Amino acid sequence: MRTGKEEFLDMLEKYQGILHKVNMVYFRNPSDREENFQEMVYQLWNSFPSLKNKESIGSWIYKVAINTSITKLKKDSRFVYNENVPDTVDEDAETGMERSEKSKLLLNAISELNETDKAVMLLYLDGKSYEEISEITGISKSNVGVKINRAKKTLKEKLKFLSNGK
Amino acid sequence: MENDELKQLWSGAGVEALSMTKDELKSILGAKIQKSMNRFILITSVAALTSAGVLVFLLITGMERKSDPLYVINNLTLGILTITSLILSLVSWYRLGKADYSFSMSEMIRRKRDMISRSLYSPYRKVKVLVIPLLFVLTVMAINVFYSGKTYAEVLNSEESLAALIAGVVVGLPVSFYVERKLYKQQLSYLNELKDLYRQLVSVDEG
Repeated sequence: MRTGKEEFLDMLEKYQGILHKVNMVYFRNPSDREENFQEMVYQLWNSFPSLKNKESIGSWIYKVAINTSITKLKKDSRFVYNENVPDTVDEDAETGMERSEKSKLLLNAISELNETDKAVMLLYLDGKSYEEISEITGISKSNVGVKINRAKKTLKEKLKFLSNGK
Repeated sequence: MENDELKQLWSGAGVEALSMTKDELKSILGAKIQKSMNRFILITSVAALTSAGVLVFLLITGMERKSDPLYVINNLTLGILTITSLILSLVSWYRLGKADYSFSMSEMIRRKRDMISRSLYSPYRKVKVLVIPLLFVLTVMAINVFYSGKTYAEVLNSEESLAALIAGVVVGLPVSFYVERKLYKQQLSYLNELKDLYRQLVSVDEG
C-alpha cells in the first residue's frame, strides 16, 4: 500500500518543473534557489493534507511555490521592485542547461518585472488560462488581461533592446 | 515578436535539466523536515527549561520565605509573567510556523497584512514595553531579597537597593523602548511592503 509520503513524492517528481520555473524567475543566486527549493518542497508537504481537489494540483503547486518565494524574498530583505539585475544570468545556475540565448534574455527580462507581474507572466507563459491565473493570484480576470498585455509589451521591448545590445 | 514566440522561448528555458529523481527529492524533503524538527526541539527545549528553572527557583525561594507576603507576591507575579510570556511566545512561534501558503497570492498577502496590522496596533504592544523593566525589577528583587537574608520591605527601604532599583529602571526602560521601537519599525516596513504588493495585485493602474 502506498503511503502519503510516496504519493506526495510521486506528485512532486511529476510537477517539479513548476518549482524550478518559479525559482528561476524569483531568485538569481544558486544558493538562494537551493534554499528556496527546499522551502517550497517543505511547504508543499505541510499543505499536502489540505489538498482536496486532486485535479487542480498544478494550480495548488503554483500557489504554494509563489507564496513561499515571495515570503522568502521578504525574509531576506531583498524585496526590491524593478531592481536592476545584470544582463546575464548566473553561470553556475546555468550548468547543465542548454538554454538558448533568447531564452536567457527572456528570463532576464522577466526577472526585471515587479513581483506580481513575474507571477502573472510565469503563469501566462506556462499556458495557464486567464481564469486559472486569476484563481492562483487572486486578481480579477480583466485585471489579469491588462497586466499580461502590459508585461508582454515590456518584455518585448526589453528583448528587442537586449538583443540589439548583444 | 509574436505572443507565441514568447511562449516558445519560455518553453526552452531548460528546467528539464534541473529535474531531480524521486530519491533526490525524498532526501531534500527528509533533510528539511529534520532541520525544522531540530529547530522546533531546540527552541521549545530552551524556552521550557529556562522557564522551568525560573519557576523552580521562584517556588523554592517563595516557600522558604512564605512569612514575607511581599516576597511571595513578587515571586507569584514573576511566575505568572514567566508562564504567560512562555505560552504567548510558543503560540506565536507555532502560528508563524503553521503559515498556510495554499491560498491565492492576494489572499495570502491580505492575511499577512491584516496579521501584522493587528500586531502593530494592538494595545498589548504598549504593555510589553512596561513588562520588560518590570520583569527585570522583580527578578532582581527575587534574587537580592533571598540572598541578603533581609525581608522584602527591609531591602526595599535600604538606600543601596533603592539606588539599584532606580538604576535598573532608568537603564531597563530606555533599552526596552529602543528594542520595541526597532521591532515596530521593522514590522511597519514589512506592512508597507505588503500593502504595496497588494496594491500591485489589485490595481490595474500600476505597472
